[in-house]
Amino acid sequence: MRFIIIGAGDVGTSLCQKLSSQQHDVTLIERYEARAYKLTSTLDVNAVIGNGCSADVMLKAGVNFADYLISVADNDEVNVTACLMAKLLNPRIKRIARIRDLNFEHSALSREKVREYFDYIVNPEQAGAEHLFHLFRTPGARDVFEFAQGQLRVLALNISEKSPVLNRTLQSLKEVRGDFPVLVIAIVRKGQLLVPSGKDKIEMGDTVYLLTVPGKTSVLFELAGKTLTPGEHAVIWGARPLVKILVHLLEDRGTSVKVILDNPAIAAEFVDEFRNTLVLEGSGTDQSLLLEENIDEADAFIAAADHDEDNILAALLAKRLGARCSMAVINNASYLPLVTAIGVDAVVSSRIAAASSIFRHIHEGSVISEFSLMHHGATFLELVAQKSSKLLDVPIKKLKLPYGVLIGGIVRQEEVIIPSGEDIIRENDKLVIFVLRSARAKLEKLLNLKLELFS
Amino acid sequence: MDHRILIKVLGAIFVSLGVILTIPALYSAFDSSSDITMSYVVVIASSVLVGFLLWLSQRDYRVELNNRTAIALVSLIWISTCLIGAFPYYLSGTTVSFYDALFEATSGLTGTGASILNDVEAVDRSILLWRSLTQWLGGMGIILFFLSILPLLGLGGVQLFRAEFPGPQKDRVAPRVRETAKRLWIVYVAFTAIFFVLFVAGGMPVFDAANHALTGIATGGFSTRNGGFGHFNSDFLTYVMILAMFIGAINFTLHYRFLILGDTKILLDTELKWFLGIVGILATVITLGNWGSSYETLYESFKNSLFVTVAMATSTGYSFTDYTAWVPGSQFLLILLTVMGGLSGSTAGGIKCIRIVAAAKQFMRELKRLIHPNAVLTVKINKRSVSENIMNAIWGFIFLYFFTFSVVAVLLMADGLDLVSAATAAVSCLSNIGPAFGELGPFDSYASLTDRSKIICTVAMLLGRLEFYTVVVLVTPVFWKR
Repeated sequence: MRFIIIGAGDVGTSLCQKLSSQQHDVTLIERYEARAYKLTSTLDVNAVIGNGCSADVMLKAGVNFADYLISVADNDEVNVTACLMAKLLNPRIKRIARIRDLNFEHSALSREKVREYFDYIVNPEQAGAEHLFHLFRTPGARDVFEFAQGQLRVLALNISEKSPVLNRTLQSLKEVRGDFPVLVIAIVRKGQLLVPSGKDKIEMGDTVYLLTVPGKTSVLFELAGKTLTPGEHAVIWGARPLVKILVHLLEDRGTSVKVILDNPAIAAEFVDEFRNTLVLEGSGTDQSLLLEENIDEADAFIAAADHDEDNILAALLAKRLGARCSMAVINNASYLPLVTAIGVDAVVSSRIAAASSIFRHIHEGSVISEFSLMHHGATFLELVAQKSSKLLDVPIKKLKLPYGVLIGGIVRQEEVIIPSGEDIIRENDKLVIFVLRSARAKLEKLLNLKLELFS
Repeated sequence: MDHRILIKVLGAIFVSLGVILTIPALYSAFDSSSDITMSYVVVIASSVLVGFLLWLSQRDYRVELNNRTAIALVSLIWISTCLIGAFPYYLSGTTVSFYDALFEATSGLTGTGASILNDVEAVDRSILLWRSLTQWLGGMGIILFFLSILPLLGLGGVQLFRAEFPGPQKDRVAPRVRETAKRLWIVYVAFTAIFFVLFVAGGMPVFDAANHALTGIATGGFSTRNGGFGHFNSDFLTYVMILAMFIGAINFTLHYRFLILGDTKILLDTELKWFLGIVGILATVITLGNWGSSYETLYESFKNSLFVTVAMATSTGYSFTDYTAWVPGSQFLLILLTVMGGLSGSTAGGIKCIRIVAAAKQFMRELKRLIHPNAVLTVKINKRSVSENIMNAIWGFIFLYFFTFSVVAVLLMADGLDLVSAATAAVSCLSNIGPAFGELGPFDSYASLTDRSKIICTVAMLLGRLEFYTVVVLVTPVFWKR
């Protein structure tokens, strides 16, 4: 397929990498030569220098022959105009835009009207803010993500010395707290990912990935030796676009929020927009400011300033000053494995999420959502069991699943099953599958479909 | 450095070269006057066998090329192609020593056209065909050729492309490098076919027409006649060949955009305008200079001067008329043109017009800066500012050209050549022209040189063709540091 990508930012870059390595024709439109050159000198991607909204530039980039236009420039105006212009030039081209402005989707425009001009709108900030919100609601979890509209939840928990299941086998999990829907998917021990069997023991310091239903979150916290006390008090630093969305979510829940902003003009904007939020002017790396604002009593510190490095440092500082939990927003994927290793509790990357959701839309395969443990080479997938799949109508224990493939959850209409060996998958069930990179090819064979995964 | 990928790719290249060599081999087999088929069979068999074994040993190895490996690979592909290309000359007895064979093969692949053969009409015709074929393959760039036929090179094609075409203009005609290579090659093949037809129509024998079509569009300059292109003595053929050389010296991206996409804006391309202007003005000056001294009539002077000027400026270098007998001013202007060469992205050699244009514009900019010290001034090409990085690379290139020129010239003089011959031979090899001045004029061959001088020239041709950086970086410590 032929793609035109506008904007060589983080999202544009990762899309270029991914699509060109899959042998697609990619032409990049970028305003600044140096940024484009950085990409074209290493990737098999063509670049046209110029304004992404200009018809001339688009024609030069081959808009007439392209299948997709993906506009992920830094500002919404460019992305909207580019999609409109592309429709004028080539009505058949599929248009994807990143639009951060929430009003756009919630405005008076009808859904159909919007669909006419935009085949897909991605708003990574919304997803990023929701992710941070979930993490805030379960402080102490390494990670939380949800599948099947929140019917299934994956929790990553650190095992503390108070855990009642310490040094016991996985089978004993249910003995301690009776039977409830839970499945241990993976254990990260000293940076290594293990796919455990029932006889493996849980050790102190392990990070355990568990699949469960949202209602059982607090039970799992207990088993990990922690108590779940939903966050009450949040301190946020920075003005990335997701901050406003997050503050809205938190305010609606009645959480007390303090926002630290470097820029007085943006601070004034926040004061106008929020009623119950305290807006402070300053920097999240300023120790005295943090102490003055009782950082040691905050349930969570969220660093969402413009630079990844600043966010990491601020999160570490806040943690050291006594914040219960600290999180950082990061765009550079290569930092991800580092950051949790040095003590930041959780990391959110909205740019990577945006690239991956665009990618999924393009391949409109049966994968509904994808969550990757990047540095461990493993992925959680949510997909629909197709008729052609070889998994149907046989008890799971008879499927002979290869090592590294785990069926974690089955959602059949309203019914949620965390399967044992006796359960059976039916057509059109939603499945949550955990798969290691090494087992992907085998899983593709079993499902009888090509998994176009971003990670 | 990734040795395994080098071995795998070289294996595939060896096999492809064996396949390409079947063309002169088949010609030899069907031509009754040729009795050297066996030498081809030996080269083809050993190259295919060795290549296949190399490839087989690493067939499961798949990895993307990094920059460093790509640079090494480009140089290695060129060197090994020259080595394999030399064997037909050596095994068939066309040349006595292997140095001569290597010189001839390198001269062919780099599109230089300097020859050590004194009497080409006596040489086996299949060898002449191979000679022309090497120029044609090398003219558009062998890496570009392999990129378009070997899917294996798809991984890391960008790095290879950049290493073979280090010029400042980076317009691609298709989003992917492989597709770009294919399209440029299609244009190239089409032009070759058109000129073949025109030559035949102009009365050239089919064999000569084929060879001259191959070497003309490649701006190579190998001829099948001792008298060079002058042998044919036809006005029509002369002007057709002038056109062929011109087309060969123009950026093939421009051809593609003009012919296939119908983009007429390329006629305003800065580099093209300058090239036409410079060649036009100098051809006029040379015509007037030769009128009355070397040629009686204005028309004779015009025809001869134009052909030679274009042949030298486009780095083709067909023998046509003895320009070493021209007035000194004409000869000097020819030398200047050979230093410049054709357009970037063409089959021509030399510093390339775009670098000269950029350097000249920067000179004007510095003058302006004296008067407006605070002005923001940039060098513009095609209405776009050239970045400082690219300007620095251009100056570095011009320095490298003259530095290498000095070294080669001094070495040749140390080996016994006179001042004029040595200096012009150095330019001729670095710019991939072919003939030089003095003892190495258009109707002389390089056979009189010592083996040592031949090796120096061989290296110079390769350096010039790969535009220095790619080869020079191989001998710098930075490249070998971990």
